[in-house]
Amino acid sequence: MYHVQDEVSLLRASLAGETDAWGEVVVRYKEAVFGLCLGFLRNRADAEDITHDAFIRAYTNLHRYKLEKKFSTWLFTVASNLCRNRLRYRRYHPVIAPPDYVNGGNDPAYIVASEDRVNAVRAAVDRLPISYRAPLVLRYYNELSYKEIAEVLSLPEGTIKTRIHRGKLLLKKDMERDGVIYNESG
Amino acid sequence: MRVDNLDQALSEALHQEVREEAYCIDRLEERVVAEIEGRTPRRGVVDSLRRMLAPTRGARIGQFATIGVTAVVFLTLGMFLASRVTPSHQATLTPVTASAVDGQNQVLFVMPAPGAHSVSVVGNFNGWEATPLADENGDGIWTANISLPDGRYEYAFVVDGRWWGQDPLADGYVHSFGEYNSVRYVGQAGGGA
Amino acid sequence: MRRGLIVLCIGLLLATSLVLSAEPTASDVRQALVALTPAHADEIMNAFSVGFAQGRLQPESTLRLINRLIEYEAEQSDKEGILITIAQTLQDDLPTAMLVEKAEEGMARSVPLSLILNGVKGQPPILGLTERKYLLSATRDTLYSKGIFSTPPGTKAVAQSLSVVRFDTLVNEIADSLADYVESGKSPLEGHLLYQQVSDRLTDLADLKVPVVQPGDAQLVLERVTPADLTTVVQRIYE
Repeated sequence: MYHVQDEVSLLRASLAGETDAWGEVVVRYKEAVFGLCLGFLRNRADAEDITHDAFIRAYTNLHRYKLEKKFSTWLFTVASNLCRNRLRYRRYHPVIAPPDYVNGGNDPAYIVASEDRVNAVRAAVDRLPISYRAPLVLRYYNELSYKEIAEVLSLPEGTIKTRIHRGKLLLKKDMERDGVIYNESG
Repeated sequence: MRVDNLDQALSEALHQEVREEAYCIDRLEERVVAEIEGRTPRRGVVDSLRRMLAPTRGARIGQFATIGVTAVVFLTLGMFLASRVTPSHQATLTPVTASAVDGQNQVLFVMPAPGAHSVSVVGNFNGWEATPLADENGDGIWTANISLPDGRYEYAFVVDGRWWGQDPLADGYVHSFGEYNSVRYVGQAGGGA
Repeated sequence: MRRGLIVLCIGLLLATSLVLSAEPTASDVRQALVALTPAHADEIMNAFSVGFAQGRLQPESTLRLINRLIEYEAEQSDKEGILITIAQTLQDDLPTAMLVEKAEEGMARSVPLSLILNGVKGQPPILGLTERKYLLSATRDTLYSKGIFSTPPGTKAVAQSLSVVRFDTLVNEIADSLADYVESGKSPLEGHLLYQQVSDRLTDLADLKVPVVQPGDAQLVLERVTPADLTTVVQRIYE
């Protein structure tokens, strides 16, 4: 209760132009937003850019945020839209050198040789199309509910469930192809 | 290699990535506040310039030529647009405005071609038959405003009979008959909160 | 008085025919076909008529294509080949927008007609209308195999079936993005790249203020079609 009120007063102060209050908001949410961006964009430099931009844009548009709604959902929506634009831009303007991918490329030998199962998962996530990757990141990194994910991505809740299910199937398949054997449960 | 629980592995992998890379958002709050308070220039301008000079999807051999040409075209374009845009507008280079009339968009085609006698645009919106551009004030920048419904369009410019397939203002390029066509999506819903 | 009426009627008739003749009609297309290829005009016109009725072909753009073919410097057999390929595509119950556009573009670029029709192998390859027709057909078959199909107007709609227009759009756009991929010189074995290309196209078209592809249709395709499916379709072109 105290925490929520605290956030509300931070936001009110930010709206009133107290930039230090907004600085505190950034401190509280920067890791979550960065994680979202890194998950979507798979590239640290871009994720850093967009995280910065997201907080600038959120501040500029703070008057559009309705205080009775959940702030994190709204903030994540801003970040998600910026990521989408960056992905679209990146498609249209590829650079010569490949971006600084988090996992050093899609070389299967690298994955199989390494016993690190985390790297196998990360490489498979790299290869997932964004329409599957985005809901998975919001679920497994940001730990949002289906309803919140649906709001952030502007999609029906049913679609989110399907995408998460199919996204995981795609991951499993992709990892199997690289020699990772998947044992039930999740 | 076995993965026992994908949910757990996924969550672990994503969290570990963030831990490894999060050093770059150290003191992000200071940079954000500095920008808001106007102490640093808008990041966007420098980044936009950097991106604009990035090479296009040219063939390897012609890549430097493409970079050079693109840079020249952009500088010319920049000067042209700068003379049109008032200082209060942040230059977002999207030369498409939705018109209120029946969902048609006014799409601006621009081709810097000083000294050219005729410039036209051909594309799948006009059956690949030439729609002429005009250079009214003789400054070498040829333009045409074409009304198009929302959709995906492929096109190229023809300058004195020569085809130019890589419009710097395009959203992307595709190969066609061994050369390039420019691609534009008209009517994109904008991003933003 | 009577004379006046007759003059008036003739005048109206003339005016009406002037107005009507501004819009190319099916019979204009037929006339042009007969001029270009008397031997095959009937066969082609039969297919084109169905295309007009279905909305898959427009008299205006078809007439423009035929007139351009008439004037183009090329072998008669190639000119006929272009039109026959389009006719056969219609007979196979497939959309033809991509083929007509490519033919017009090729002629605008002064590309030899035989190349427009048959393409050129190489790295990267140039696809001809024949190969694009195959992509349309293979795309349609893939969608069918995934339970995505259209029901023609007049038949009872099954739940989950699309209108012909929406289905045609999917087939056309998916096939065209696969063609783009092949012509970019990338490997057909990179299924996930193929999938990304199709996904990008469908998503971008669904993302417009007036979507060209319905977001629900794009989702349906992207959920059911896999990278492996697309590799299977595209690999045949490289053989």
